[in-house]
Amino acid sequence: MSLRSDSKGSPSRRHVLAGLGAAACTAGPSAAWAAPTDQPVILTIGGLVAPEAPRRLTLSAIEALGTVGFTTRTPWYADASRFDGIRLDRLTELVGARGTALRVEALNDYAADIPIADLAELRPILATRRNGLPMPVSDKGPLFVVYPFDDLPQARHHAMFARSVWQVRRIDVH
Amino acid sequence: MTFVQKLAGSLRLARPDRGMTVLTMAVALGVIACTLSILHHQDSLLVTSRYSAVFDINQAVSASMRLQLSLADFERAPDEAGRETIALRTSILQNQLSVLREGEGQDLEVLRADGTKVLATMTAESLRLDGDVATLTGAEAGRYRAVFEGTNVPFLQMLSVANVEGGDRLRREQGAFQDSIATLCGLLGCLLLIGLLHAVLLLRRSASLARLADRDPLTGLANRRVFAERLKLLEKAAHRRDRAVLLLDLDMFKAINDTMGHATGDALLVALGRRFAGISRDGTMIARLGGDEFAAIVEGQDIEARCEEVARAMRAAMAAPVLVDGRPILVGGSIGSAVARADETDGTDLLRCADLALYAAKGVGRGCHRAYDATMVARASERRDLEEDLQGAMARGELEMHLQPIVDAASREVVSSEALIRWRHPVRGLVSPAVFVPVAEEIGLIEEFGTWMLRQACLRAASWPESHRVAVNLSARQFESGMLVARVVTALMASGLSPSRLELEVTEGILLKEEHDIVGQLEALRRLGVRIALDDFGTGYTSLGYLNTFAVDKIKIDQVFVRDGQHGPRSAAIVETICALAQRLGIDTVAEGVETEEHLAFIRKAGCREAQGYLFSRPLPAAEFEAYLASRTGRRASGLRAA
Repeated sequence: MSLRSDSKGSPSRRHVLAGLGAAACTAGPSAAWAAPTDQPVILTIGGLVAPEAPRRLTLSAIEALGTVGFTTRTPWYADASRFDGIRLDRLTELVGARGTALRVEALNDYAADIPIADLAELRPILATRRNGLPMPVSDKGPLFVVYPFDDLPQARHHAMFARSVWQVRRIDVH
Repeated sequence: MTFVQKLAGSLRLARPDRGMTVLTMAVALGVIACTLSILHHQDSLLVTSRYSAVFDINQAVSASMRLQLSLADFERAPDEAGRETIALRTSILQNQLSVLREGEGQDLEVLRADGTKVLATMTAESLRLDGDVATLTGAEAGRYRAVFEGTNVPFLQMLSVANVEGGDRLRREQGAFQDSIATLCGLLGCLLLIGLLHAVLLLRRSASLARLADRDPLTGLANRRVFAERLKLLEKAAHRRDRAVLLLDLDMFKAINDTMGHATGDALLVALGRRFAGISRDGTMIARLGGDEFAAIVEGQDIEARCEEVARAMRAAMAAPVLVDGRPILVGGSIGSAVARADETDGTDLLRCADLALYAAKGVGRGCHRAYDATMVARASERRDLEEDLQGAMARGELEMHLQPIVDAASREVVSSEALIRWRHPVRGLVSPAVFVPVAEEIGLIEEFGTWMLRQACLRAASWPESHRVAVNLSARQFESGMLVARVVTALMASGLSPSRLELEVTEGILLKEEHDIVGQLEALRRLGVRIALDDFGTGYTSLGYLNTFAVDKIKIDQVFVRDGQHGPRSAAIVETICALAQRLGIDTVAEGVETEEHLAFIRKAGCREAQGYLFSRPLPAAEFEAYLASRTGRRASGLRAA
């Protein structure tokens, strides 16, 4: 809920955005986050976002935004896995998205639209880690949209499985 | 018979409520099971539809093709950008292959059969390529491209087969789902039917309850309540029509119940009820009011004729004997009827009128029908007054004993006298015993009266000369309490009269009665020394048989024979025969109703010993009789003690 009360350009958001911008543009050391400058950019953000919002993010930068985690079974692994990452609604908030949906694109050019209105209810995350480890491209890395399927029966549906984009490289707000 | 009727029938046999409950519960359980099954099928349907393994295979094919393209590019012009592309494409392919190996799509048959080999090849080759990519040469890229190209055909075929297999699986799940839905619908239909059945059974039960409430349980005819309601309805102005009520009482039904048992009585009522039911039609309702009382309500046009017709039909229904346990029983019934016109608004109580008519019919004799007429009310009220007066008659000293002498036919000397009861009413005057004795019998006063007569007769006779006897009449009712012998003994002891001077007169019909051991009581009286006389001999069911089994002391020949005897040779023969027979049996004979010298001469000639009648004296009040006796036996008057 604090995410909502923080919306509409609250000082805390601006502070974070400024930090992100610094991380992305100058790659200088900062108190808020300390990402090695040699890390590759793994996520590009575009579309209807705030002018000051960062466009290119590294793994550390993403994880610096604050992560959550849960354990769930998925159609793609035999066993349940623990996923950690940033909530998509928090990310949307932080970049000042003004659209209705996120178009998520993968390295293999797969793409799916996720309505922003659904984010609060279905609570998908942009996972950076599976079972505590960063994910390689050969195993759905580096970023993977995952819903808490075990907690939300309404998420166990083809529509949500199709939105569970792996090998995410770009998110466009539109 | 439909299935539902059969089902309802069998359910009714085995505790209807329990049967229905068990059935309902069974179907409800079926519905629950079916619902669970549907949920399950729906779930697998979702599994089938929610994740398309075919799409994953397609993605893998696409990843493989794009890797082959990048390998071909590198083969032609190896550079670092191409090497990076190959690394990325290899990783993407590896990811797709891992999904096919581990993900839910793996339960497709084709992935486990035909697919195993090509998947293994691709997995191994992509792993090797991932290791080799940093040092990859153009020639090596060509070799890898050839290897992956070799997997294209089986991989594409696998894709198609998986597509078909997925379709089959969907169809299967859908089929099972549809089956479950159909079963559920069937069960719900059953529930609906059961509900209907419940409703039908309830309706039927309430209908049969209503029927029970309306019907006499024994005969199935309308009962008293329905009868009364119908009558009440007909009395109401809006429904008023010409109408009649008939009441029918079976004659002697109590005797049948007493002697043949209640089961026989009931069977008789059932049989009669069935016959009476045949009379019932539109505008004619037959009911059983209770006991042996039947009734009919007739309504509509031409009421008198139809009422008469129903009465006739009722009597006709009783004309043929009823067979109960193979025994034919013939019953008669008395019918009283009353008619009211539609325009009669004086609130005449039809039922009461019919009751009066019934009473009149009974008074006439058995098997009669009487229609109500206005005089019946007067007669009924007269009778009620008579009853009331009679109740207190003895206490008020209104009863009197009169005596009629009986003389020796030859010497004309008084040998005995018959004590006769009289009622001297302060207003009516002397009431005939023919009027009040039957009433006294009916309202249960006769035993009291009879005991009083016994006492009076014994007391009086005790003061008469030793040779004089006194005769007292006994009613059949006096035998019912079983106290008769004790009362006779008490009267004899109280008066000091010798038992041999007391004669008790009974009608010959009494000897035919089987109940109350009448013959036994008479024999006990005879053992006391009391004499028994048969009154009105020759008028009832005369049977010489009982003369053989029961010894009587005297026969009183009815006055009918005496009066006719002198004119008709038949009566003369009868009287002569009776007297001769009595003489042979050692039985005394008395002729009643001797009013003329001719009568006397006739009976003397016939051999009769004694005579009674107006020729000698009418019945006299006790005091007058004693005076008469004194005058007749003047020479021996000194022997007559004052009474």
